[in-house]
Amino acid sequence: MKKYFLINWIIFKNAYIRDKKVPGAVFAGVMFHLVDIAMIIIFFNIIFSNTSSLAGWNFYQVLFLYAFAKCIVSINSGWIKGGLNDFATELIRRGGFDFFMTKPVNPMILVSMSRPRLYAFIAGIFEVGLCFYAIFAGHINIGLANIFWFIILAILVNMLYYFLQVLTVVPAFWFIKLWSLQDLMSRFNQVMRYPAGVFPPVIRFILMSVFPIIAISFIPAQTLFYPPKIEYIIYIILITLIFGMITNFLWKLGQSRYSSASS
Amino acid sequence: MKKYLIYFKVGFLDLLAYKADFIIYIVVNMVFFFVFLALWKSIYTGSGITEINNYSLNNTITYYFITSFLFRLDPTFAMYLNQTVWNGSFTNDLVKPWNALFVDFIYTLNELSLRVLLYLPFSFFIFIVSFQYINIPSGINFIYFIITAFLGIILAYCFYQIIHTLCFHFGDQDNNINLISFIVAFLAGGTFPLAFLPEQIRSIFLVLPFRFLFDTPANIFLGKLGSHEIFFIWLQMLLWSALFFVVYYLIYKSGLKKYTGTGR
Repeated sequence: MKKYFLINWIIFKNAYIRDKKVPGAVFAGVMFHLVDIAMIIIFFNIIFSNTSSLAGWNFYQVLFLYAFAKCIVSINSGWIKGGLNDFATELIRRGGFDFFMTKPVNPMILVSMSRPRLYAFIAGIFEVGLCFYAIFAGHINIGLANIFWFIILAILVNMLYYFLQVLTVVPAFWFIKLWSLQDLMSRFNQVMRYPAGVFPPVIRFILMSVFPIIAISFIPAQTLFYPPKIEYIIYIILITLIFGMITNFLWKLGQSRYSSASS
Repeated sequence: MKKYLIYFKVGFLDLLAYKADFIIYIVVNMVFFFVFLALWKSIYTGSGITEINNYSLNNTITYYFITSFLFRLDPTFAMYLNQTVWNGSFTNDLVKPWNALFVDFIYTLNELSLRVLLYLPFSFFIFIVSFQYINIPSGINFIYFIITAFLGIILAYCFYQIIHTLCFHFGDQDNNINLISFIVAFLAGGTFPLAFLPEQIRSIFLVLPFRFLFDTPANIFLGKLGSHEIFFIWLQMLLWSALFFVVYYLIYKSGLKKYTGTGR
């Protein structure tokens, strides 16, 4: 475990040195997130000027849900998305994955953390701020038990999001070049912004279990606002474990058929 | 002209080499439509309203159906001038006996044609799944819509080329292109009908030419605009395109003098 922290630290340090040389890129990256926040606030204002609640959630609760979903996305985007994008588009096709396979660490983890984007963490600060704003402006009362379980669930869903993200790029082992896969999660992020009740029951079921992208944002937020449900907490623990095992299995399966440069 | 046709054909075949990638890209992008379908259905039915600024539920869903199609015609992610200038491969086009800019345009058209072709079965699927919410346009409105959508491609292409050609002067514009295209899609009505905006904000959005990319074609499809208005819109689109083209061409010409072809 210690060596992973050390590698991560070195990679982050390099990323910092690299980003310092291109402040324009960092600025544009942060701006992108801020513009997205501004746009979504306008959009939510339009929605809530026509309805008082969305699937039982008020403006500030939905705003919190959005900001929380964005935090998870930003953390993952800052930490692992760059590496996984590289994996889906270049590493398998050009054989660059050789480099990761020959190191005495888990290639999946090494690939994931190989290209951090520090600006996503800066954007994450604004998103955390938006979470707090939504809670205070909405006068939402939250108990200590809610906060405790919310933190536990927030850690777990970050891991779950990571596993789902890896699952979306694993097919690159078989299909060689799949640029579109790197975008898959960013499209699915859309559904994390809204309360689960918005979606029809069948779709909700699929997005809560088969590909549990809604569960990632909705269950922790629900646990924060309403009395914690033990079944939800157990459910998140279970699906995180199950998806962790599935991801690990498929990655190893794909890795076993990897044959270096393909085109 | 023949060489350009051959280039178009070869480019098309080249893109077809990675069909799976294209198809996944399109399937993935269908998520947007279904998210908005669920969201607006919930808003209209949940609050018991029948119209928002003259948009019924069916109008709104049709709007998203059309914009999901128009996103396939958005040239943003089918333009590579910035990339080729930045990595030096633009030299390959410059030294050949053809117009390098026209070839660049053909490549974009290639990719857009393929996207539309591959999207047709999926749009048919969307239509089948949600036909009760989708309004069918009259024949003439459909023709007007097609013409407007095509003019929209030209307009967007000329506008984005301005940012791409800035690469000659200021280096890689990738981040700026992503940021600007994101903002433009919002200003154009790619996220929701501009009619939903409060009056004051809407008046700002309507001054900008970007509404011609999503909001205007969708409204034409919905039959919300008369023939005279549409002809006037086409005139405006042509004028904006000409203006953007002149700016883009001037930046390109001055940039070419600085181009070294060495790449990064």
